[in-house]
Amino acid sequence: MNVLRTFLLYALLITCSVVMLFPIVYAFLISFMSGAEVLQGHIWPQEFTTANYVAAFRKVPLLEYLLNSFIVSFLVMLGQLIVSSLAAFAFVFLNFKGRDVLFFLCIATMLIPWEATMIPNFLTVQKLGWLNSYLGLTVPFFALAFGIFLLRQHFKTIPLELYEAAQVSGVSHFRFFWNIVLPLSKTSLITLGIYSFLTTWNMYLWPLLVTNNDRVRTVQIGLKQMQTQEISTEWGVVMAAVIVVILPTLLLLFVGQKHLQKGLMQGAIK
Amino acid sequence: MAKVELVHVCKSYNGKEDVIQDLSVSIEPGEFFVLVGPSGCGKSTILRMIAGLEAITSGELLIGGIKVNGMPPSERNLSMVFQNYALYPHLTVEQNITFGLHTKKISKQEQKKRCLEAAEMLGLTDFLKLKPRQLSGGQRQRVALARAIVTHAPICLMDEPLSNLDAKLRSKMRSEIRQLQRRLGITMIYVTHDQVEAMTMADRMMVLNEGRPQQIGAPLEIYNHPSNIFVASFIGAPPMNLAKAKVLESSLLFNSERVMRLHHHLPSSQQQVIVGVRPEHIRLADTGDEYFIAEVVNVEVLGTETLITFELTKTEHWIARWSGQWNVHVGEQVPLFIDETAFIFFHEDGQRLNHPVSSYVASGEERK
Amino acid sequence: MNTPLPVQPPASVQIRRKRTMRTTLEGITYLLPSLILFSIFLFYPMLRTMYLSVYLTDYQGNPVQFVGIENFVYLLKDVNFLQSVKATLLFVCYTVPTSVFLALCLALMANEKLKGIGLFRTCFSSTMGMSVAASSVIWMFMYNPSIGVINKVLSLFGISDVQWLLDPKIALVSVAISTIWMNTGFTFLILLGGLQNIDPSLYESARIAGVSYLYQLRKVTLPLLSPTLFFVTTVSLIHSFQTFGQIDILTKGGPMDATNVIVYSIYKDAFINYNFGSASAQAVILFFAILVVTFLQFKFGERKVHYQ
Repeated sequence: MNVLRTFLLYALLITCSVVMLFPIVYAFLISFMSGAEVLQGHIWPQEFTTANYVAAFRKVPLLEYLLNSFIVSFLVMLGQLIVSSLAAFAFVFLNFKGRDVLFFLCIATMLIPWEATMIPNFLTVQKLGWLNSYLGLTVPFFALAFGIFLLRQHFKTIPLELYEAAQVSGVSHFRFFWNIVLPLSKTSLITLGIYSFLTTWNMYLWPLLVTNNDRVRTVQIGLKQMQTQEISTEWGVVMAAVIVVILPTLLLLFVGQKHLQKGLMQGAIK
Repeated sequence: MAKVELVHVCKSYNGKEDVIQDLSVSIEPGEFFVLVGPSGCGKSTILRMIAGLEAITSGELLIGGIKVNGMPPSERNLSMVFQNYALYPHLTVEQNITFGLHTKKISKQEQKKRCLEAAEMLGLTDFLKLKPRQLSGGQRQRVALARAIVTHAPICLMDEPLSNLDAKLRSKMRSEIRQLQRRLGITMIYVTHDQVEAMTMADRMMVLNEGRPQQIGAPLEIYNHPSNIFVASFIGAPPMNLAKAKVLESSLLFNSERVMRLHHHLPSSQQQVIVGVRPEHIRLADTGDEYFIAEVVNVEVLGTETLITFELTKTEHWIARWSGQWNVHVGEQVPLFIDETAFIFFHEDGQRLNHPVSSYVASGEERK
Repeated sequence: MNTPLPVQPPASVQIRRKRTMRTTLEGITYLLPSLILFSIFLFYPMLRTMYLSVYLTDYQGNPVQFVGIENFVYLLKDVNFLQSVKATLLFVCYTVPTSVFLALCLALMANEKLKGIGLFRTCFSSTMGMSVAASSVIWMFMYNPSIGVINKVLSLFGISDVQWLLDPKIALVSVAISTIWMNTGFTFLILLGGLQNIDPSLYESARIAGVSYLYQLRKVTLPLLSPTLFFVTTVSLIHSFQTFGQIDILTKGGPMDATNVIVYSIYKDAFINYNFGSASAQAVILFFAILVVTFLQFKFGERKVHYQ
């Protein structure tokens, strides 16, 4: 009975994995096919060719797009970490008037769908002259209620005695924040870092709005461009680009999966 | 009824090292049997194997004479109390107590009746509609006990059930559990790391260390006749005093500093031994006693008794336990006397000397 | 020496007041970056959106003429807008229950203690690392009527030429299927985390009691998982209302507006037709829709949640 159950479970797990992974593997296989083969609708390439990858980098500035995406994602990650940890620190360790009101305000921002604000935001960025610049792509996302909330949850687990000991020995608040709180919260910071990087890398609508030339365009918009332009008939090339685009995030996800899962749970439930 | 027998049971997680090595023991129906040992000694693993929560790597487990190695836990007709009580936080006390009874084809009325019965026995009647989080630690513990009782299973397994309670409550629950077991006449297999619990509750107990059974027997038998230095130092608080000594004709030489003369009971044919003596066997010398003088290094007056730590040798301290309150000062030189029948001798490797390994390895063969 | 003390608060009170002043200032300083950013990029634009929604605007987004609720009245009479509301609601109904249910099944399987289970967990969560754009491009190809794999497989069963993205009747379903696939990774990961948070001794106790798998699922696992389920459902709901990328790449809101969900409609009105007033009115509606859904979810969904 137990053996049968295990067998059935494995069968189910494998079936589900195949279904879940199929689109990714399929794209991977297509990316190695010649154009003619793609049009015949094969699933397994008769001959693996890297020509599509070469073409993908040659026909569109994929490398620049990748670099842009890296820079933007990295900046947003850094910005969110700094801004969120500062705020979370104040919410946990500094006791001042109006703190709870401000915290409520921060939480309330989670209720505002970002899409409902994009029109004025676009106009603001336009007025600031930040269209087609890294500033326009990154700064609006530096403050993140979820990030503040996540870090606050973790900071709250730091024993208050540590704070009191620092107070007694006359260590300044910022020192305490920098030398004690941040090192002790490494795991949450990593979680938040992975989360921000992933979401920024995958961001679509905002980059679509604020970039209209190749200078700071991100890979996601690059994909859309490829898919709508004339090379859209060359599916192999498009898929090669897709693989290049998803590779960094998939790797990051596999490395950080455990972190992410634990951290997101913390932010979610308690 | 329900006898539990383990025959040459081994457990290994990785197929290489054994966590439990060749364990054989037979637990009689109606017995209160305690598995005791330091954390990580495998005692919980044994309990979980009996429960069926862990697979047995090799050997046989018999319950009521039937081999149950592959049988799912629910068919073994036993109940279990977990260390953290394993109460369902979303169910009321009543629902917790009756959880799963429907699988045993017990009618709703009977379930209700049993639940009330158990609740009354444990003083939970007023709490039946509450959720576990509204209860105190002791009350939660009782709910866990009630859940074990209502199944009317002849065997009850307990995995460190008192470790989450404070000291006062713990001693109260100790006697409550013991009384409950007597009243219901069930076989109890109880895991603990606390030797006091083992000593006070057990009919028989098994001392474990690193997955190996050290000694099986009644508490006093184990206390008085430890089969090796591990048991000697694990059972009893403060533990048995131990020290290496050289045997020179009819005297013991400790660290070439102190000599104690013996008249008989000399360990046979050994040059190096480990000498053990319980703290209560070291007393203040009377006139006429063959005493030795030692310097006191620490005194703890506990009200009913006084613990005196003295220097046996420069590097070894022993403890003497005198009942009553004694006005001894640190640095004082006191004359001490040890009745030589109180000495227990161990081989250098830790095994008991002049005491054949009888109480140790209460294996299947020996019993037959 | 013995002059009476001047009438003023004792020194200690003054010091205390000064100190609270200082800590308040310090607290605000730490919060300043967040507050400024939230104000500029969230609170101000939200208010501005509401403001614009009652104006007619020029093509640069400047309010020209106050029209009151006319934008809203117009929208509610507008067939296109009603269609986009319908598409959005249908889309939410298609995607949210399905992806939560599927992810729950996957998480239950992946929570079993088996050899190599880590590998399966990685597989199931992999779509979380996939961007909407990349996923959509892949699905676009899979949906391709002539060379895509889906029609190739279906043709084996004698079904031919399904126009997945061009048939108004099925385009929304097609987009929903691809979206469910994209969402599964995240939902799965959170639900798995929730399952792993459940104390294993509760399951062991159930095993000793001998209850069946389904009974255990109903009476133990799901109630204990309910806070997590509640969370993922709420997040999925909100997320689903905000769908944009896959629509933009797969269908562009077509065919015949069948997939013109509200965010896409806002995007088109604002950035293609430069009708900022109407777009803002839609954005306000979106805001309130999400607010109401979240509120309802908390009001009615949370009752069934067992917090520990």
